[in-house]
Amino acid sequence: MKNKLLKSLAALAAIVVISASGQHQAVAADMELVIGTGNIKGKLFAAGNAISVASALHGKGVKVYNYGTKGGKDNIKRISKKKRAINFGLVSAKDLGKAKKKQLKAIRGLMAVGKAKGKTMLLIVRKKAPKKVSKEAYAAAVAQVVSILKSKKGVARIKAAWKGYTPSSGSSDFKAAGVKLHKAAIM
Amino acid sequence: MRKLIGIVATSIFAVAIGASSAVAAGKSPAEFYKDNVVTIILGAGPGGGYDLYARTVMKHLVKHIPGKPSYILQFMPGAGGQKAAGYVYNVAPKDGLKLAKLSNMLPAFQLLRGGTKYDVSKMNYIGRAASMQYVTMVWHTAGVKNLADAQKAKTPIIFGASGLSQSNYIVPTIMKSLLGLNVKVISGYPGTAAINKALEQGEVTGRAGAWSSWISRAGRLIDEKKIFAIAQSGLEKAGNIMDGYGKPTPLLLDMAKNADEKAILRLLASDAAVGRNFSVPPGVPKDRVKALCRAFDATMADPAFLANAKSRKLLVEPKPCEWLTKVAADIVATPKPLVKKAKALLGWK
Repeated sequence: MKNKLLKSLAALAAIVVISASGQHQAVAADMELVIGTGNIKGKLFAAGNAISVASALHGKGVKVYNYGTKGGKDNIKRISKKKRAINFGLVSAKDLGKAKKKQLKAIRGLMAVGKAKGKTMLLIVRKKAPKKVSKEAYAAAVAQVVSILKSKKGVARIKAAWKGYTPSSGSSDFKAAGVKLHKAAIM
Repeated sequence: MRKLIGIVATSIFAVAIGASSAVAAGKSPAEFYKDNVVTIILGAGPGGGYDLYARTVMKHLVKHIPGKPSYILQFMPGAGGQKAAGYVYNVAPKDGLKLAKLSNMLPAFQLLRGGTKYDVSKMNYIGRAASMQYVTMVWHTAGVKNLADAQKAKTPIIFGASGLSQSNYIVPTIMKSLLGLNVKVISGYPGTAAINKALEQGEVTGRAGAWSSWISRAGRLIDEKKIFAIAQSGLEKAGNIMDGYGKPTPLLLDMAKNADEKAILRLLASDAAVGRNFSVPPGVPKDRVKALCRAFDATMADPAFLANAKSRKLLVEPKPCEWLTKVAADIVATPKPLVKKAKALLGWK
């Protein structure tokens, strides 16, 4: 009974601290997340680098590492993998629309990031938290990344690498693909 | 007129770039790295040994780099690390902000395969965290507990390998060619995890792999005596690698019958010495390379790093940048006739 009460108080205190902290919510322990982008010669990979640098400079306990993958379909595959999965992925709305139902269950939508080669590009996130990371800490880390991506400094840095970067909701694309939105998604 | 404006604009841009480079070049390493972000490029994807070593080393290395920069990782897998090596050597900015943790196979690959987009002897090495002593392991069902047992084996030991240019192919192939072992090598496995699975399922009965990888990823199999070490490949013998009878495993290099064989084995074992190496591309200002080298040395002696590495079951066998630079230069200077013989032993053209 005493333990239960203490746990409840601790959880309440954590919520208060998170709500009271500034624009970017600090994450207790350092968290390293991976974003799958695309070919190393492409614009999306360059944008991934900028996201990564922005997370290192403006993040509080969260870092995002760029992974040069084979592109959108590969990112969907990697984000829904059981082992060694990536946490974020850049995908086109078209590729997301073709994903399997099982894969879509493992994914949550975050935002639209702009257009590349005429295709709307979306940022997706893995639903499941990494090993040894609590759901709450993972959610806070994801929220912090979204906050960096929306911030003035973050937008300027990413735009310098990829002019097409225009963060927006993308909710209609996610809805069309059958992907649920993450709590931190841009509305 | 438009052409003239274009030329003037290009010139102004070039002068501006030159000026900013000069300003950057004039800064001390501490001034340059302060508030900056160092990127370490990995020639592999997340989750493996490259990732684990890079994360562990970088976490502590940045504390020893003057100016204490921040850091990020960048994964660039493909073509056994060739893609990342080509990018680091040719495309990455040469300002000291792009570090690399590249494949230890690059020197041997450059020499034996040729046509590479990099020259390992021109890279600026900053240090090695651990060797990649390759250990040949045999599954318990094969009835082989040491090299002598393997030499008497009537049933071939079937080794799983990922690719023809990988050590897990090269080491057993050389053991077959030079020691006459009854060995078959099946290549095409996507990675070491897949070969380990094949071992447990009885599909193959052996695998050659880095000792550091064996103990961090498959230590359980060694502890449970499901797999036995029979030989090691490297430039120096590691005394802590025991065979199935509890005796130290022999070093392949010590088994050479003549000077030529020794030179070939030395060449093929050089990747073990290059090991878990860290580097920056050629052209980085010398004072920054020096600062990175010393920071690396300090990291390797840092108790916090050593404790972190121990908790992650990572081997730490550091070597300074000067030592690594010499090893890479020695490999590239191998006489051509010996390279030809080594290729013939591996069945390469």
